Amino acid sequence: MEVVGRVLTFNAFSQGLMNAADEISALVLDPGFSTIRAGFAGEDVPKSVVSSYYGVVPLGASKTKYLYGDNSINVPSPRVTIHNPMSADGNIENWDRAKKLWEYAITSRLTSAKPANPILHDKDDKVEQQDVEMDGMDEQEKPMAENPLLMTETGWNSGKNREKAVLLQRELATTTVVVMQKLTCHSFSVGKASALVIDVGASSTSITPVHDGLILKKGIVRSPLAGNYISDQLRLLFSTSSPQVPLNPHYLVSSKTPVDALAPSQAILRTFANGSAPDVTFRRLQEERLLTEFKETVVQVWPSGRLAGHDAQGRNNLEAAKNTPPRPFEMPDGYNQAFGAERYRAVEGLFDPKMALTDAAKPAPQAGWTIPELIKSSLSQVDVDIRPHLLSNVVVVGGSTLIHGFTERLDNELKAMFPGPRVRLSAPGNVYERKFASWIGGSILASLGTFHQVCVF
Amino acid sequence: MTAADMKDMLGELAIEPHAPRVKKQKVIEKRPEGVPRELFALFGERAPPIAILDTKAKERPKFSSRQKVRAWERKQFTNPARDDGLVLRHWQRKEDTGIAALATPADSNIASEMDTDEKEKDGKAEPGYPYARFNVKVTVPEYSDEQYESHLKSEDWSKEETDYLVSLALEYDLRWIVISDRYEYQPSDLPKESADSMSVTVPSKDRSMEDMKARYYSVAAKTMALKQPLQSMSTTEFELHEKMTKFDATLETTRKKLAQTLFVRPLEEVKEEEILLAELKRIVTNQEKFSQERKELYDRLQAPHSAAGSTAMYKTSHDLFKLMQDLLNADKNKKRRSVGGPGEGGPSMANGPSTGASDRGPRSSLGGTGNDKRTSLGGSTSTGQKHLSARDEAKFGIAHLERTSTGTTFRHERINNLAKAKSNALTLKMTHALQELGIPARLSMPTAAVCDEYEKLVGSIHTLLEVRKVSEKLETEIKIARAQVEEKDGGNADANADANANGEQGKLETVGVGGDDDGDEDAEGEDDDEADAVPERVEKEEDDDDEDEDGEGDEEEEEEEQEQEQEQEQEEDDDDDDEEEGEQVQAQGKQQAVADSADEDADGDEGPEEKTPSETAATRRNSVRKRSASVVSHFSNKSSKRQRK
Ligand SMILES: Nc1ncnc2c1ncn2[C@@H]1O[C@H](COP(=O)(O)OP(=O)(O)OP(=O)(O)O)[C@@H](O)[C@H]1O
Ligand SMILES: [Mg+2]
Repeated sequence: MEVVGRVLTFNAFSQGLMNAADEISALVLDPGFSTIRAGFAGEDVPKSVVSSYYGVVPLGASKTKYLYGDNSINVPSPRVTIHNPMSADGNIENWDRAKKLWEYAITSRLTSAKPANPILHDKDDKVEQQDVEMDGMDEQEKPMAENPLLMTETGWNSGKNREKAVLLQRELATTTVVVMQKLTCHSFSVGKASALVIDVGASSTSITPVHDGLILKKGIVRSPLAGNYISDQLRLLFSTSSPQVPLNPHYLVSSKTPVDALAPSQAILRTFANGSAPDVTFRRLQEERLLTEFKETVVQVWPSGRLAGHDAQGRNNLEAAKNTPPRPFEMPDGYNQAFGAERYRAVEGLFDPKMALTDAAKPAPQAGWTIPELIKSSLSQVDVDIRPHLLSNVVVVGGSTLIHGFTERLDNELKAMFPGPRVRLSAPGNVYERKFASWIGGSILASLGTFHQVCVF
Repeated sequence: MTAADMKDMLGELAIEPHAPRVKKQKVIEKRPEGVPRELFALFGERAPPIAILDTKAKERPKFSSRQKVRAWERKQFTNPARDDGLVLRHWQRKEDTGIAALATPADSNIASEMDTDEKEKDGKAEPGYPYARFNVKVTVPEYSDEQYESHLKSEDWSKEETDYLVSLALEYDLRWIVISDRYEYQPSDLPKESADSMSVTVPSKDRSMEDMKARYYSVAAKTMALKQPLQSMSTTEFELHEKMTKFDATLETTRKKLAQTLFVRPLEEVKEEEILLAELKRIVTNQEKFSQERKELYDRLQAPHSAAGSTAMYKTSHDLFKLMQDLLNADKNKKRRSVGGPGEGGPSMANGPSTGASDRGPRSSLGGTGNDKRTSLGGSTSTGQKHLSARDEAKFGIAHLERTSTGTTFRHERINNLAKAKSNALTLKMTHALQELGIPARLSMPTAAVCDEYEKLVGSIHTLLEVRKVSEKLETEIKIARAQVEEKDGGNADANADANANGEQGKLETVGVGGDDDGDEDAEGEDDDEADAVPERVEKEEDDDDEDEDGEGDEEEEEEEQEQEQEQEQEEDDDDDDEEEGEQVQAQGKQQAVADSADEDADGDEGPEEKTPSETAATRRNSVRKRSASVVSHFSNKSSKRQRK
């Protein structure tokens, strides 16, 4: 009975997709919890990828120095504190800083900074009063007066946040601001108008059904089990293993001597003069960087079946995991270890809550937070007619899905959960496409000739 | 070798390399353009390991002949698809308007389309933004307040909510999945909740997609009819109207429920379905094969019959020979068919090949008319043979065979094939049986006499196996029939007549019952068909005749083979006749050897020795089958009696 609709409508979106693009030099901005991606629409990779964190260095009583960008925030300046404008669940809390970060992301690489704006002139000398008047900016100072801006947003963004985002971007760009749902962009990045988008980023994992380029709001589900959770699991793993794995980021190590595997490290750690040591938040950011490296090289997902379960021949998977060749990793302080079965443990919590590592501060995740459960509950919210279609168009994006074996495992889990319908995962093979999927989708969207009439400005 | 010689050789060699080196240096010394001389001097004698690229730029394309440079500019434009007059900028050719005029080859398609588009608009003042035409909106029903009051009122739906629904339909281009997702109607009399809790609020009334569709379609259909009476609608409009009025929400709901159960099927069901599907596919293909075989058999049985009206064609022996040759050739091309069916064949050859040389004749069963016509082919085998004493015959291993295969074989080859049946499965069973009896599969003293005895034994085992098989089948038949009888329990006597009328169809329907899938071509294949046809045959006796004929068909084939063999035998004999009689025996032996090596039997026909047991087996089988058929008929009598009761 969908016929009526099909006959009458021929949608601007899909037609736009089929036709040539019209270049209006839109900027695409895709802020995430760990990085902000910015670039021109129509390009295939964001030109500017900057960290979402910013540093705050107190200079005396009333002055504060803000640090943006990877070059400055990773320097252990005295008493520097590191912040993220987003809350742990991926919503923007500190709008002022968020705006500054976005501005930085755009001006540092994409457009030249206007000389009229001293704030943007030189980021390192950038000293500003905390209560600086932003309203005084005139048209001239807006960094991108010429270019419309497309910004991605999370599907669960509340209306208030959305309005605020639009307002804020109006300050950034004169002409146009488009707030586009991030997950729609995901599905566009892989060229699908309808898809079930699974985004495992840093702060949260989200499942979003997209139908004909439109998000089905009721089907959006998410959980905090994502990159940051994996990092926490790794911290727990390191502290509970014997011998304990030390987690000293690079900046703390001033010299080291090579040691044997599992031997305690022999490194001279850096000491800071009283009161000038970087804040604990700085250390945490550095640890995070180290852990990301660890995730990239060592961490794996047990590809078939549950790690706690058995394979088809009835063999214990945990045993099988122990028999896989271990992967060595050397910490910055020289400690090194070959990680065997434990390298599978850190991610298992994303699929099987019982296998999550826990301690007093970190209880086991809720059973409904695991990725298979999220998918199940997401699908239960959408119309049954499109469920099989969504399952055959599962799009996997986000930095944390790059963990070795992730897509394979997800595929297996889905096939076990839905034996009937055909399950097909499409994950961009390219690392950049996977990490920047939402930006790329926005880039495609913003370069369409029909883009500016479809979107709500 | 003297030193002078060495010098001579070395000298020549030593001089040689100099020349090319000098040349090479020369090449290097040619300083590539763009490398300063000072820098080049630093390279020394040896060329640097880097490749110095020719810095010459690519040849410039010649534009001069064409028109001058096309100017582009960054221009502001408005998109007529937007009503807020938003101004954006894009690059476009100077003094042209709109992208339409960018007649680059890639765009020419759009451009020409756009041109026509614009022409159609006959020069509307607005230059137009080419992509604006993609801003297509659906048409949604429009109604005035009075119309709503008089026609569209509903108890369940207020006017506001209907308006809301229609506006959503417009906004989301009638994508019901999205509409039902975004549907958040708040009655206006209730205080509207703040916007930021949008995704959390539940609609006051939980409308399902079917409710919405039903309402929308009814409204749309009614407004459509209001605008234009049914009679004056075009066909497409009318169809649309029909579709909308016929929308049944409850049906949709049940359908979705079914779809849901299908979606969440457990693994076992999915597997089961897969198996069933595979089974179905097998059955269908089997059925096709079966019916095709049947058809071929019919063709074969009937075709000569129709020609039999004019036997004048086959008056002379030569003509008959030709006919037979043709038929044989046709048969060779086909596989041996094994399907029985009601046909003209008749039991004329019931006594089978065992009747020997005197009975050899044309394919009487096929021709139907040729029963009394004998060809002169048969006789020649018995002429001109020198008789040896019985002892000599045994000594030389001379056997007077009723039929021989084409070509010659060694007598000992028979040993290898003693316990071989027609199919692997059967051979296996045979070996088992022999094991039970404690007889080795390979004879330790395979003299001709032993072999004969052994063959007899194998023949009877064969019969035993056949009988066992048939009895098993009968048991299942009985079971099935019992079940059927219990199920029916009375009162479909006319079903009999029906079934008789289209017996073949009935058979086809029951093909799936027997799951015997040996892949065996000959004997097993028949048996399959029998098994398949079982439940039907229980009901009607007519098919029992079928059964008999089935056996006959088999026999016929045997016979054909026999005939063929005879011919060849005869040819051989003719050859023999040329030779001197005294040397007959040795000559034959020699000839056998020669023939064996020279024309190795390409057809792979069985040797003459093998034929005998299989023939006997065939006749026995035949009789067994008849018996089974009679049992069946007996049984079916019973069952029909029971049915009558
Ligand atoms: N190769 C990799 N292997 C494993 N994990 C990785 C890899 N690369 C990045 N990550 C992890 O992915 C996360 C960043 O992913 P991504 O850039 O998609 O997040 P984001 O979009 O910034 O965050 P969010 O979507 O939560 O707002 C980090 O937690 C990082 O540790
Ligand atoms: Mg992300």
